Amino acid sequence: MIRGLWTPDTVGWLLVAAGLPAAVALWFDQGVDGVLRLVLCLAVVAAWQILFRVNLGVAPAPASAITALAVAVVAPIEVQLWQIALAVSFGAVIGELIFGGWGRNFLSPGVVALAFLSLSMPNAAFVASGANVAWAVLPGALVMLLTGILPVSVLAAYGAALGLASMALGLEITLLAASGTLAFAAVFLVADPVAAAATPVGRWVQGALAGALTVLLMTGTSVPQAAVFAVLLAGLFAPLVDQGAIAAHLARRRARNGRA
Amino acid sequence: MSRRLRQFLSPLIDENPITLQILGICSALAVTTSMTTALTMSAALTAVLMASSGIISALRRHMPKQIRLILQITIIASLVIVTDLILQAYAFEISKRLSIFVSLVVTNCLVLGRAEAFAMHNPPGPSILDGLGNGLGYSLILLIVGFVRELLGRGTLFGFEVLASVDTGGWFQPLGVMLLAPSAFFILGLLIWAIRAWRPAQVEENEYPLSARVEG
Repeated sequence: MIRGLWTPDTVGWLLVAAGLPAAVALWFDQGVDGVLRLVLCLAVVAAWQILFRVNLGVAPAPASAITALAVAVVAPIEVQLWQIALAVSFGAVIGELIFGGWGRNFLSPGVVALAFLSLSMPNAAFVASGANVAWAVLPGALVMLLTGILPVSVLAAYGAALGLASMALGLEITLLAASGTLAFAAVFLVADPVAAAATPVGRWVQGALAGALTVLLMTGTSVPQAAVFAVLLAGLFAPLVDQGAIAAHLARRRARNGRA
Repeated sequence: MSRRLRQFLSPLIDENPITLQILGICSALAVTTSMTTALTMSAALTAVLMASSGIISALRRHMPKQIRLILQITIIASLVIVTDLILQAYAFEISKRLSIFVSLVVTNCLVLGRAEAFAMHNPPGPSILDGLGNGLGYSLILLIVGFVRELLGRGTLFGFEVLASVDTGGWFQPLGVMLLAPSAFFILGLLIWAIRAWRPAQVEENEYPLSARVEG
Protein backbone atom coordinates (compact mmCIF):
# COMPACT_ATOMS: atom_id res chain seq x y z
CA MET A 1 0.00 0.00 0.00
CA ILE A 2 1.17 3.53 -0.75
CA ARG A 3 1.45 4.82 2.79
CA GLY A 4 1.76 8.52 1.91
CA LEU A 5 -1.61 8.50 0.17
CA TRP A 6 -3.59 6.38 2.62
CA THR A 7 -4.14 8.73 5.50
CA PRO A 8 -7.28 8.43 7.64
CA ASP A 9 -8.68 11.38 5.69
CA THR A 10 -8.34 9.56 2.35
CA VAL A 11 -10.27 6.63 3.78
CA GLY A 12 -12.84 9.04 5.20
CA TRP A 13 -13.38 10.84 1.90
CA LEU A 14 -13.69 7.52 0.06
CA LEU A 15 -16.36 6.46 2.56
CA VAL A 16 -18.22 9.71 1.97
CA ALA A 17 -17.96 9.27 -1.80
CA ALA A 18 -19.30 5.74 -1.47
CA GLY A 19 -22.22 7.11 0.52
CA LEU A 20 -23.22 9.73 -2.06
CA PRO A 21 -25.30 7.38 -4.26
CA ALA A 22 -27.21 6.27 -1.15
CA ALA A 23 -28.02 9.93 -0.47
CA VAL A 24 -29.40 10.22 -4.01
CA ALA A 25 -31.46 7.07 -3.48
CA LEU A 26 -32.81 8.63 -0.29
CA TRP A 27 -33.97 11.65 -2.33
CA PHE A 28 -35.51 9.24 -4.83
CA ASP A 29 -37.36 7.22 -2.17
CA GLN A 30 -38.46 9.87 0.33
CA GLY A 31 -38.41 13.08 -1.70
CA VAL A 32 -37.49 16.47 -0.32
CA ASP A 33 -38.27 15.37 3.25
CA GLY A 34 -35.48 12.82 3.15
CA VAL A 35 -33.01 15.38 1.80
CA LEU A 36 -34.00 17.92 4.46
CA ARG A 37 -33.44 15.31 7.13
CA LEU A 38 -30.02 14.50 5.73
CA VAL A 39 -29.09 18.19 5.65
CA LEU A 40 -30.20 18.59 9.27
CA CYS A 41 -28.15 15.56 10.34
CA LEU A 42 -25.10 16.82 8.45
CA ALA A 43 -25.45 20.26 10.05
CA VAL A 44 -25.65 18.77 13.55
CA VAL A 45 -22.61 16.54 12.98
CA ALA A 46 -20.64 19.45 11.52
CA ALA A 47 -21.55 21.70 14.45
CA TRP A 48 -20.25 19.13 16.99
CA GLN A 49 -17.10 18.56 14.95
CA ILE A 50 -16.36 22.29 14.92
CA LEU A 51 -17.16 22.66 18.62
CA PHE A 52 -14.80 19.83 19.55
CA ARG A 53 -12.13 21.13 17.16
CA VAL A 54 -12.21 24.59 18.72
CA ASN A 55 -12.56 23.61 22.39
CA LEU A 56 -10.71 20.32 22.71
CA GLY A 57 -8.55 20.11 19.59
CA VAL A 58 -10.20 16.93 18.28
CA ALA A 59 -9.42 16.57 14.58
CA PRO A 60 -12.58 16.72 12.45
CA ALA A 61 -13.07 13.67 10.22
CA PRO A 62 -14.91 13.55 6.88
CA ALA A 63 -16.16 10.03 7.72
CA SER A 64 -18.50 11.55 10.31
CA ALA A 65 -20.82 12.43 7.43
CA ILE A 66 -21.63 8.70 7.38
CA THR A 67 -23.21 9.09 10.84
CA ALA A 68 -25.62 11.65 9.40
CA LEU A 69 -26.29 9.51 6.33
CA ALA A 70 -26.98 6.40 8.42
CA VAL A 71 -29.56 8.19 10.57
CA ALA A 72 -31.22 9.82 7.55
CA VAL A 73 -31.48 6.51 5.66
CA VAL A 74 -32.55 4.17 8.48
CA ALA A 75 -34.57 6.32 10.94
CA PRO A 76 -38.38 6.15 10.72
CA ILE A 77 -40.14 8.96 8.89
CA GLU A 78 -42.49 10.11 11.66
CA VAL A 79 -39.71 10.92 14.14
CA GLN A 80 -39.68 14.59 15.04
CA LEU A 81 -36.72 16.63 13.86
CA TRP A 82 -35.54 17.61 17.36
CA GLN A 83 -35.33 13.94 18.27
CA ILE A 84 -33.28 13.24 15.17
CA ALA A 85 -30.98 16.11 16.06
CA LEU A 86 -30.68 14.77 19.62
CA ALA A 87 -29.95 11.24 18.42
CA VAL A 88 -27.32 12.45 15.94
CA SER A 89 -25.73 14.58 18.67
CA PHE A 90 -25.68 11.57 20.98
CA GLY A 91 -24.07 9.35 18.33
CA ALA A 92 -21.52 11.96 17.28
CA VAL A 93 -20.50 12.99 20.81
CA ILE A 94 -20.87 9.84 22.94
CA GLY A 95 -20.14 7.43 20.10
CA GLU A 96 -17.13 9.19 18.63
CA LEU A 97 -15.91 12.60 19.75
CA ILE A 98 -15.41 11.96 23.47
CA PHE A 99 -12.94 9.22 22.62
CA GLY A 100 -10.78 11.75 20.81
CA GLY A 101 -12.21 11.63 17.32
CA TRP A 102 -12.80 9.21 14.48
CA GLY A 103 -10.48 6.20 14.71
CA ARG A 104 -10.50 5.98 18.50
CA ASN A 105 -14.16 5.11 18.94
CA PHE A 106 -15.08 1.46 19.42
CA LEU A 107 -18.61 1.53 17.99
CA SER A 108 -19.83 3.05 14.78
CA PRO A 109 -21.36 6.43 15.80
CA GLY A 110 -24.19 5.90 13.30
CA VAL A 111 -25.18 2.72 15.12
CA VAL A 112 -25.08 4.51 18.47
CA ALA A 113 -27.38 7.25 17.17
CA LEU A 114 -29.79 4.76 15.63
CA ALA A 115 -29.90 2.61 18.77
CA PHE A 116 -30.74 5.76 20.76
CA LEU A 117 -33.63 6.51 18.37
CA SER A 118 -34.82 2.93 18.33
CA LEU A 119 -34.87 2.66 22.14
CA SER A 120 -36.62 6.02 22.34
CA MET A 121 -39.47 5.01 20.10
CA PRO A 122 -40.08 1.30 20.53
CA ASN A 123 -43.39 1.58 18.71
CA ALA A 124 -42.29 3.71 15.76
CA ALA A 125 -42.53 2.02 12.41
CA PHE A 126 -39.03 1.76 11.02
CA VAL A 127 -39.53 1.57 7.26
CA ALA A 128 -37.05 -0.68 5.53
CA SER A 129 -35.59 0.65 2.28
CA GLY A 130 -35.80 -1.57 -0.76
CA ALA A 131 -33.80 -2.23 -3.89
CA ASN A 132 -33.09 1.43 -4.78
CA VAL A 133 -30.80 1.90 -1.81
CA ALA A 134 -29.26 -1.54 -2.31
CA TRP A 135 -28.24 -0.67 -5.88
CA ALA A 136 -26.99 2.73 -4.74
CA VAL A 137 -24.74 1.16 -2.12
CA LEU A 138 -23.24 -1.30 -4.60
CA PRO A 139 -20.80 0.90 -6.62
CA GLY A 140 -19.26 2.47 -3.52
CA ALA A 141 -18.95 -0.94 -1.92
CA LEU A 142 -17.14 -2.29 -4.98
CA VAL A 143 -14.66 0.60 -5.02
CA MET A 144 -13.99 0.18 -1.30
CA LEU A 145 -13.57 -3.58 -1.69
CA LEU A 146 -11.04 -3.06 -4.50
CA THR A 147 -9.10 -0.49 -2.47
CA GLY A 148 -9.14 -2.76 0.56
CA ILE A 149 -11.07 -0.42 2.86
CA LEU A 150 -13.95 -2.85 3.28
CA PRO A 151 -12.91 -6.18 4.75
CA VAL A 152 -14.27 -8.87 2.40
CA SER A 153 -14.53 -11.39 5.21
CA VAL A 154 -16.93 -9.29 7.31
CA LEU A 155 -19.26 -8.74 4.36
CA ALA A 156 -19.12 -12.36 3.26
CA ALA A 157 -19.76 -13.66 6.76
CA TYR A 158 -22.62 -11.17 7.29
CA GLY A 159 -24.25 -12.13 3.98
CA ALA A 160 -23.83 -15.85 4.54
CA ALA A 161 -25.20 -15.69 8.07
CA LEU A 162 -28.18 -13.62 6.91
CA GLY A 163 -28.92 -16.11 4.13
CA LEU A 164 -28.52 -19.26 6.18
CA ALA A 165 -30.35 -18.02 9.26
CA SER A 166 -33.27 -16.61 7.26
CA MET A 167 -33.62 -19.87 5.34
CA ALA A 168 -33.61 -21.81 8.59
CA LEU A 169 -36.39 -19.61 9.98
CA GLY A 170 -38.23 -19.10 6.68
CA LEU A 171 -37.85 -15.31 6.61
CA GLU A 172 -36.33 -14.85 3.13
CA ILE A 173 -39.17 -12.65 1.88
CA THR A 174 -38.96 -10.18 4.76
CA LEU A 175 -35.23 -10.12 4.23
CA LEU A 176 -35.47 -9.38 0.49
CA ALA A 177 -37.99 -6.59 1.03
CA ALA A 178 -35.43 -4.87 3.26
CA SER A 179 -32.46 -5.39 0.94
CA GLY A 180 -31.64 -1.67 0.89
CA THR A 181 -31.42 -1.32 4.66
CA LEU A 182 -29.41 -4.51 5.02
CA ALA A 183 -26.98 -3.61 2.22
CA PHE A 184 -26.48 -0.17 3.74
CA ALA A 185 -25.98 -1.66 7.20
CA ALA A 186 -23.53 -4.22 5.86
CA VAL A 187 -21.32 -1.71 4.05
CA PHE A 188 -21.44 1.32 6.35
CA LEU A 189 -22.22 -0.09 9.80
CA VAL A 190 -21.11 -3.73 10.13
CA ALA A 191 -17.91 -3.29 8.12
CA ASP A 192 -17.12 0.15 9.58
CA PRO A 193 -13.33 0.43 9.16
CA VAL A 194 -12.91 1.61 12.76
CA ALA A 195 -15.42 -0.49 14.67
CA ALA A 196 -15.19 -3.82 12.85
CA ALA A 197 -12.98 -6.63 14.16
CA ALA A 198 -9.37 -6.38 13.08
CA THR A 199 -8.10 -9.98 12.95
CA PRO A 200 -8.90 -12.26 9.97
CA VAL A 201 -10.70 -14.83 12.12
CA GLY A 202 -12.34 -12.15 14.25
CA ARG A 203 -13.84 -10.56 11.11
CA TRP A 204 -15.57 -13.79 10.10
CA VAL A 205 -16.94 -14.24 13.60
CA GLN A 206 -18.13 -10.65 13.95
CA GLY A 207 -19.82 -10.61 10.52
CA ALA A 208 -21.55 -13.93 11.16
CA LEU A 209 -22.64 -12.80 14.61
CA ALA A 210 -24.17 -9.60 13.18
CA GLY A 211 -25.99 -11.51 10.44
CA ALA A 212 -27.36 -14.27 12.68
CA LEU A 213 -28.48 -11.78 15.33
CA THR A 214 -30.21 -9.65 12.70
CA VAL A 215 -32.38 -12.58 11.60
CA LEU A 216 -32.99 -13.69 15.17
CA LEU A 217 -34.14 -10.20 16.25
CA MET A 218 -36.23 -9.83 13.08
CA THR A 219 -38.67 -12.34 14.51
CA GLY A 220 -39.63 -9.82 17.18
CA THR A 221 -39.29 -6.40 15.55
CA SER A 222 -38.90 -4.54 12.25
CA VAL A 223 -35.87 -5.29 10.08
CA PRO A 224 -34.09 -1.91 10.50
CA GLN A 225 -34.38 -2.08 14.29
CA ALA A 226 -33.17 -5.67 14.27
CA ALA A 227 -30.24 -4.72 12.04
CA VAL A 228 -29.27 -1.79 14.30
CA PHE A 229 -29.27 -3.87 17.49
CA ALA A 230 -27.51 -6.78 15.83
CA VAL A 231 -24.73 -4.48 14.62
CA LEU A 232 -24.54 -2.82 18.04
CA LEU A 233 -24.15 -6.16 19.83
CA ALA A 234 -21.70 -7.57 17.29
CA GLY A 235 -19.69 -4.34 17.52
CA LEU A 236 -19.56 -4.58 21.30
CA PHE A 237 -18.21 -8.11 21.00
CA ALA A 238 -15.69 -7.27 18.24
CA PRO A 239 -12.78 -6.41 20.62
CA LEU A 240 -13.42 -9.57 22.65
CA VAL A 241 -13.55 -11.67 19.49
CA ASP A 242 -10.25 -10.13 18.37
CA GLN A 243 -8.70 -10.86 21.74
CA GLY A 244 -9.82 -14.49 21.47
CA ALA A 245 -8.49 -14.77 17.91
CA ILE A 246 -5.10 -13.41 18.95
CA ALA A 247 -4.94 -15.72 21.98
CA ALA A 248 -5.80 -18.72 19.80
CA HIS A 249 -3.15 -17.71 17.28
CA LEU A 250 -0.51 -17.37 20.00
CA ALA A 251 -1.48 -20.73 21.48
CA ARG A 252 -1.10 -22.38 18.06
CA ARG A 253 2.30 -20.78 17.56
CA ARG A 254 3.43 -21.88 20.99
CA ALA A 255 2.32 -25.45 20.29
CA ARG A 256 4.18 -25.44 16.99
CA ASN A 257 7.36 -23.63 17.99
CA GLY A 258 7.67 -24.59 21.63
CA ARG A 259 8.06 -22.09 24.45
CA ALA A 260 9.78 -19.24 22.71
CA MET B 1 -15.97 31.64 54.85
CA SER B 2 -16.06 29.97 58.22
CA ARG B 3 -14.90 26.38 58.56
CA ARG B 4 -18.38 25.17 59.44
CA LEU B 5 -19.94 26.79 56.40
CA ARG B 6 -17.26 25.37 54.13
CA GLN B 7 -17.81 21.93 55.64
CA PHE B 8 -21.49 22.23 54.83
CA LEU B 9 -21.13 23.71 51.33
CA SER B 10 -18.25 21.66 49.94
CA PRO B 11 -20.27 18.42 49.49
CA LEU B 12 -22.68 20.28 47.21
CA ILE B 13 -20.31 20.60 44.25
CA ASP B 14 -16.64 20.44 45.20
CA GLU B 15 -16.84 17.15 47.07
CA ASN B 16 -20.17 15.94 45.82
CA PRO B 17 -20.67 12.33 46.92
CA ILE B 18 -22.10 11.25 43.57
CA THR B 19 -20.13 13.18 40.99
CA LEU B 20 -16.74 13.24 42.72
CA GLN B 21 -16.70 10.14 44.89
CA ILE B 22 -19.11 8.19 42.61
CA LEU B 23 -20.94 6.80 45.65
CA GLY B 24 -24.59 5.82 45.76
CA ILE B 25 -25.13 5.83 41.99
CA CYS B 26 -27.15 2.61 42.12
CA SER B 27 -30.11 4.33 43.75
CA ALA B 28 -29.39 7.48 41.74
CA LEU B 29 -30.28 5.70 38.55
CA ALA B 30 -33.10 3.57 39.94
CA VAL B 31 -35.33 6.27 41.41
CA THR B 32 -34.82 9.15 38.98
CA THR B 33 -37.46 8.30 36.38
CA SER B 34 -39.66 10.95 37.99
CA MET B 35 -39.11 14.01 40.14
CA THR B 36 -41.53 12.80 42.84
CA THR B 37 -39.63 9.60 43.54
CA ALA B 38 -36.28 11.40 43.28
CA LEU B 39 -37.38 14.02 45.81
CA THR B 40 -38.79 11.43 48.23
CA MET B 41 -35.64 9.35 48.00
CA SER B 42 -33.50 12.46 48.53
CA ALA B 43 -35.49 13.42 51.62
CA ALA B 44 -35.32 9.88 53.01
CA LEU B 45 -31.59 9.61 52.47
CA THR B 46 -30.85 13.06 53.88
CA ALA B 47 -32.89 12.30 57.00
CA VAL B 48 -31.19 8.94 57.55
CA LEU B 49 -27.76 10.41 56.88
CA MET B 50 -28.21 13.29 59.34
CA ALA B 51 -29.63 11.08 62.09
CA SER B 52 -27.07 8.31 61.66
CA SER B 53 -24.17 10.80 61.59
CA GLY B 54 -25.42 12.41 64.80
CA ILE B 55 -25.98 9.14 66.66
CA ILE B 56 -22.75 7.50 65.52
CA SER B 57 -20.79 10.63 66.36
CA ALA B 58 -22.27 10.75 69.85
CA LEU B 59 -21.34 7.09 70.38
CA ARG B 60 -17.93 7.31 68.75
CA ARG B 61 -15.94 7.04 71.98
CA HIS B 62 -17.96 4.08 73.25
CA MET B 63 -17.71 1.88 70.18
CA PRO B 64 -15.03 -0.81 70.35
CA LYS B 65 -12.96 -0.43 67.19
CA GLN B 66 -13.29 -4.11 66.21
CA ILE B 67 -17.07 -4.14 65.96
CA ARG B 68 -17.71 -0.55 64.91
CA LEU B 69 -18.96 -1.49 61.43
CA ILE B 70 -21.59 -3.84 62.86
CA LEU B 71 -22.78 -1.16 65.24
CA GLN B 72 -22.88 1.48 62.49
CA ILE B 73 -24.88 -0.79 60.20
CA THR B 74 -27.29 -1.63 63.02
CA ILE B 75 -27.92 2.04 63.74
CA ILE B 76 -28.34 2.88 60.05
CA ALA B 77 -30.63 -0.12 59.46
CA SER B 78 -32.88 0.87 62.38
CA LEU B 79 -33.18 4.40 61.02
CA VAL B 80 -33.93 3.13 57.53
CA ILE B 81 -36.67 0.84 58.84
CA VAL B 82 -38.25 3.77 60.67
CA THR B 83 -38.05 5.95 57.53
CA ASP B 84 -39.55 3.19 55.42
CA LEU B 85 -42.42 2.71 57.86
CA ILE B 86 -43.11 6.47 57.99
CA LEU B 87 -43.25 6.53 54.19
CA GLN B 88 -45.59 3.54 54.12
CA ALA B 89 -47.84 5.20 56.70
CA TYR B 90 -48.08 8.67 55.20
CA ALA B 91 -47.16 8.29 51.52
CA PHE B 92 -48.13 4.78 50.57
CA GLU B 93 -48.35 5.40 46.81
CA ILE B 94 -44.87 6.85 46.58
CA SER B 95 -43.49 4.21 48.91
CA LYS B 96 -44.84 1.56 46.53
CA ARG B 97 -43.17 3.25 43.57
CA LEU B 98 -39.86 3.43 45.40
CA SER B 99 -40.30 -0.28 46.21
CA ILE B 100 -37.13 -1.70 47.65
CA PHE B 101 -34.89 1.31 47.20
CA VAL B 102 -35.68 3.00 50.49
CA SER B 103 -34.77 -0.17 52.39
CA LEU B 104 -31.60 -0.36 50.32
CA VAL B 105 -30.43 2.94 51.79
CA VAL B 106 -28.80 0.65 54.39
CA THR B 107 -26.32 -0.51 51.81
CA ASN B 108 -25.82 2.94 50.29
CA CYS B 109 -22.06 3.46 50.46
CA LEU B 110 -22.68 7.13 51.06
CA VAL B 111 -24.21 6.63 54.54
CA LEU B 112 -21.57 4.23 55.81
CA GLY B 113 -18.86 6.26 54.09
CA ARG B 114 -19.77 9.44 55.96
CA ALA B 115 -20.07 7.53 59.24
CA GLU B 116 -16.59 6.06 58.84
CA ALA B 117 -14.90 9.11 57.36
CA PHE B 118 -16.47 11.92 59.37
CA ALA B 119 -18.81 11.00 62.21
CA MET B 120 -16.28 8.67 63.87
CA HIS B 121 -13.79 11.54 64.25
CA ASN B 122 -15.94 14.59 64.92
CA PRO B 123 -18.45 15.82 67.50
CA PRO B 124 -22.19 15.46 66.82
CA GLY B 125 -22.83 19.09 65.69
CA PRO B 126 -20.43 19.13 62.76
CA SER B 127 -21.34 15.51 61.95
CA ILE B 128 -25.01 16.37 61.53
CA LEU B 129 -24.00 19.35 59.38
CA ASP B 130 -21.78 17.07 57.31
CA GLY B 131 -24.68 14.64 56.93
CA LEU B 132 -26.97 17.44 55.81
CA GLY B 133 -24.41 18.76 53.32
CA ASN B 134 -23.80 15.35 51.80
CA GLY B 135 -27.51 14.56 51.76
CA LEU B 136 -28.18 17.80 49.90
CA GLY B 137 -25.31 17.12 47.48
CA TYR B 138 -26.86 13.72 46.75
CA SER B 139 -30.31 15.31 46.42
CA LEU B 140 -29.04 17.98 44.03
CA ILE B 141 -27.72 15.39 41.57
CA LEU B 142 -30.80 13.17 41.95
CA LEU B 143 -33.11 16.09 41.22
CA ILE B 144 -31.10 17.23 38.18
CA VAL B 145 -31.09 13.72 36.70
CA GLY B 146 -34.77 13.27 37.60
CA PHE B 147 -35.63 16.62 35.99
CA VAL B 148 -34.03 15.69 32.68
CA ARG B 149 -35.43 12.15 32.66
CA GLU B 150 -39.01 13.02 33.54
CA LEU B 151 -39.14 16.07 31.28
CA LEU B 152 -37.78 14.32 28.19
CA GLY B 153 -39.16 10.86 28.96
CA ARG B 154 -42.75 11.85 29.77
CA GLY B 155 -43.03 15.58 29.18
CA THR B 156 -44.13 16.07 32.79
CA LEU B 157 -42.61 17.40 36.03
CA PHE B 158 -43.86 16.08 39.39
CA GLY B 159 -46.60 14.42 37.33
CA PHE B 160 -47.90 17.71 35.88
CA GLU B 161 -47.81 18.09 32.13
CA VAL B 162 -45.21 20.62 31.01
CA LEU B 163 -44.78 19.67 27.36
CA ALA B 164 -48.06 18.64 25.74
CA SER B 165 -47.45 15.13 24.42
CA VAL B 166 -48.66 13.75 21.10
CA ASP B 167 -51.08 11.41 22.88
CA THR B 168 -53.02 14.34 24.31
CA GLY B 169 -52.97 16.36 21.10
CA GLY B 170 -49.74 18.27 21.68
CA TRP B 171 -46.50 18.32 19.73
CA PHE B 172 -44.11 16.56 22.10
CA GLN B 173 -43.01 13.00 21.34
CA PRO B 174 -41.65 11.50 24.59
CA LEU B 175 -38.15 10.06 24.40
CA GLY B 176 -38.61 6.52 25.71
CA VAL B 177 -34.90 5.97 26.20
CA MET B 178 -34.94 8.46 29.08
CA LEU B 179 -37.03 6.08 31.17
CA LEU B 180 -34.52 3.26 30.77
CA ALA B 181 -31.64 2.81 33.18
CA PRO B 182 -28.81 3.59 30.70
CA SER B 183 -30.01 7.16 30.27
CA ALA B 184 -29.33 7.86 33.95
CA PHE B 185 -25.74 6.77 33.41
CA PHE B 186 -25.42 9.00 30.35
CA ILE B 187 -26.87 12.02 32.14
CA LEU B 188 -24.70 11.38 35.19
CA GLY B 189 -21.66 11.02 32.94
CA LEU B 190 -22.39 14.24 31.08
CA LEU B 191 -22.98 15.99 34.42
CA ILE B 192 -19.62 14.79 35.78
CA TRP B 193 -17.98 15.91 32.55
CA ALA B 194 -19.56 19.37 32.84
CA ILE B 195 -18.57 19.75 36.51
CA ARG B 196 -14.99 18.68 35.82
CA ALA B 197 -14.75 21.06 32.89
CA TRP B 198 -15.90 23.82 35.23
CA ARG B 199 -13.72 22.69 38.19
CA PRO B 200 -10.55 21.19 36.66
CA ALA B 201 -9.26 20.37 40.18
CA GLN B 202 -11.62 17.35 40.17
CA VAL B 203 -10.06 15.82 37.05
CA GLU B 204 -8.24 12.60 37.88
CA GLU B 205 -4.77 11.82 36.65
CA ASN B 206 -4.78 9.90 33.37
CA GLU B 207 -3.81 6.34 34.28
CA TYR B 208 -3.45 5.16 30.72
CA PRO B 209 -2.02 7.95 28.57
CA LEU B 210 -1.88 7.26 24.85
CA SER B 211 1.61 6.88 23.48
CA ALA B 212 2.66 9.36 20.80
CA ARG B 213 0.76 8.78 17.59
CA VAL B 214 2.81 7.14 14.85
CA GLU B 215 2.26 8.95 11.58
CA GLY B 216 2.19 6.62 8.54
